Amino acid sequence: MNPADFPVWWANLAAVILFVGIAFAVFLIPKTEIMRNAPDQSWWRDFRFWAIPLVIVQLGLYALFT
Amino acid sequence: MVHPLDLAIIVAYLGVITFVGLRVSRSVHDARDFFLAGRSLAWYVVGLSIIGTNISAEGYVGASGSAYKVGVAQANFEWIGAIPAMILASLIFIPVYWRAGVYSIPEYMGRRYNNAVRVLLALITSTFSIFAIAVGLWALALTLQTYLGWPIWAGVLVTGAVVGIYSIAGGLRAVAYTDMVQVLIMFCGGLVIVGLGIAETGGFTGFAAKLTAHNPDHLHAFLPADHDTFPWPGVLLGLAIVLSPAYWCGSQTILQRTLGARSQWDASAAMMFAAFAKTLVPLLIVFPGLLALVMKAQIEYPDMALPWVIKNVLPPGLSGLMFVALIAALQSTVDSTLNSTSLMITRDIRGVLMRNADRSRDLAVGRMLTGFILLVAMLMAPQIGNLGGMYEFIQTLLSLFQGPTLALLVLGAFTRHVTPVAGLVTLVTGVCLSGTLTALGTNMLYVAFVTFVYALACLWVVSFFTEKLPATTLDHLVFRRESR
Repeated sequence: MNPADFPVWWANLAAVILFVGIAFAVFLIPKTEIMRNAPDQSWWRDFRFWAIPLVIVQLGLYALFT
Repeated sequence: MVHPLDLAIIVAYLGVITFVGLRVSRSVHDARDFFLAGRSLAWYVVGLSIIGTNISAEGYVGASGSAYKVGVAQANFEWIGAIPAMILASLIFIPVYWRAGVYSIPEYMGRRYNNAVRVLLALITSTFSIFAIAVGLWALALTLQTYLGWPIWAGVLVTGAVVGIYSIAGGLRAVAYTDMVQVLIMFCGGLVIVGLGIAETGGFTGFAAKLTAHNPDHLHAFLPADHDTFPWPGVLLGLAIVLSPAYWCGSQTILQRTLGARSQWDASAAMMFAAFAKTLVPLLIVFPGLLALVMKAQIEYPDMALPWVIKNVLPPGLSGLMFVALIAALQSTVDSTLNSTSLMITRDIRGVLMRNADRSRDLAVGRMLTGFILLVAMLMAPQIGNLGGMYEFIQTLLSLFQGPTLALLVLGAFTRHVTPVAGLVTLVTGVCLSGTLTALGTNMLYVAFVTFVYALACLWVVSFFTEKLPATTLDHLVFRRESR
């Protein structure tokens, strides 16, 4: 198969899989590691919760510019 | 003739930046203060500094020109070509570098592998950086010549002097705070262009309709697999999986400010914050290119899109602000590159090759080198127009290292299996493979991916036959999931 024949929707699908995969993968990192040296233990200082909106925005952008 | 209001804004900007830079320079007492800001920077300062360092003046103009040609696909460099890698850097690599307690990425590579890898990487990166500073100074001088009528030498002298004053005096702290001011100016200027541009073209719907009337692919993030410049498989495999992580997880210029944060948490938070800001960057650097297309700009080549928008869309005062944003984009990249190059030469080259060098002199040597590098770049800048071929050669040379370097970083940070000798063998043979593929005319994005895969395999296999570092040493150098 000629790579030039690969349809563009494969790229959009791959982008969705990548971003959704990241959203799940960040929760494999222990909270103790993320909160090391944090000024306090508030939930909002947990970067896993920063990554989620970031991923959602990316999914929205790629859906918009499909 | 420049409007007096625009001129006043430019003069005021140069004055404010010099003042801010010198104001925060007072607390530099040793090399740690100079190169790592005494590990005192807050996450929002570091985050904005990362964005300022990332957006260069030539990138600003070039990305707008590229968007004029290919449309929204240019934004892949800011989205899928940045965000996943920035999350990876924030959650994995920055904690690893912090635990290792290093000043630089070559230093981390030196500890994880050996000093040959450290010196080789520092040498290549420093050489490229000096050229990059010269190109940046030249690009700005050229813009000053076009806009204010200054001769090239005067533009190089004035901008070099302003950057030099605060970079030599204040080191990373001055660089980071001035970057922060510069990024805020860039965003203000960019958002004004977006607002005025949208209003002038009949709102978002009118803008999109006019854009896609003659350019149907210009609102598509991914372009066909046989596209000359941005084929989507190349964007995903080369840009998203190799070039972007190599930059965001391994660039000394970018990561040095995270090592200057006041805590590991602040360092990781800074990269996450920068990722949010990065999502908005296409508004600044992609939108002007699209706007020029919608407004049917009469330009000779795409890179004139942004200057055309500044000249034709913005009223006096605001065009001065946008011009200042361009100066800011340049200065924030030049000052950061200057500081990181000085660090690599002082510690990763001088510190390794001259083992008996007096480490207490690092601050003086760092300052002297900062001035010397700037002077060399200023002398080279007026000649850059004639050295275009050589600069492209240096850029190609740097790109040859991306795949192998990322493989060394990934396996070095994630596994205990890989060994120092395997690291050196992989780096050398991986670069040879990159060179061969490039010479055969392979697209750069595919070269990056193929050499990355080769380097992963080579590093893993050679490590079976060579000696590992002691377990106690690896404890400080490899990422660990300590607890759930």
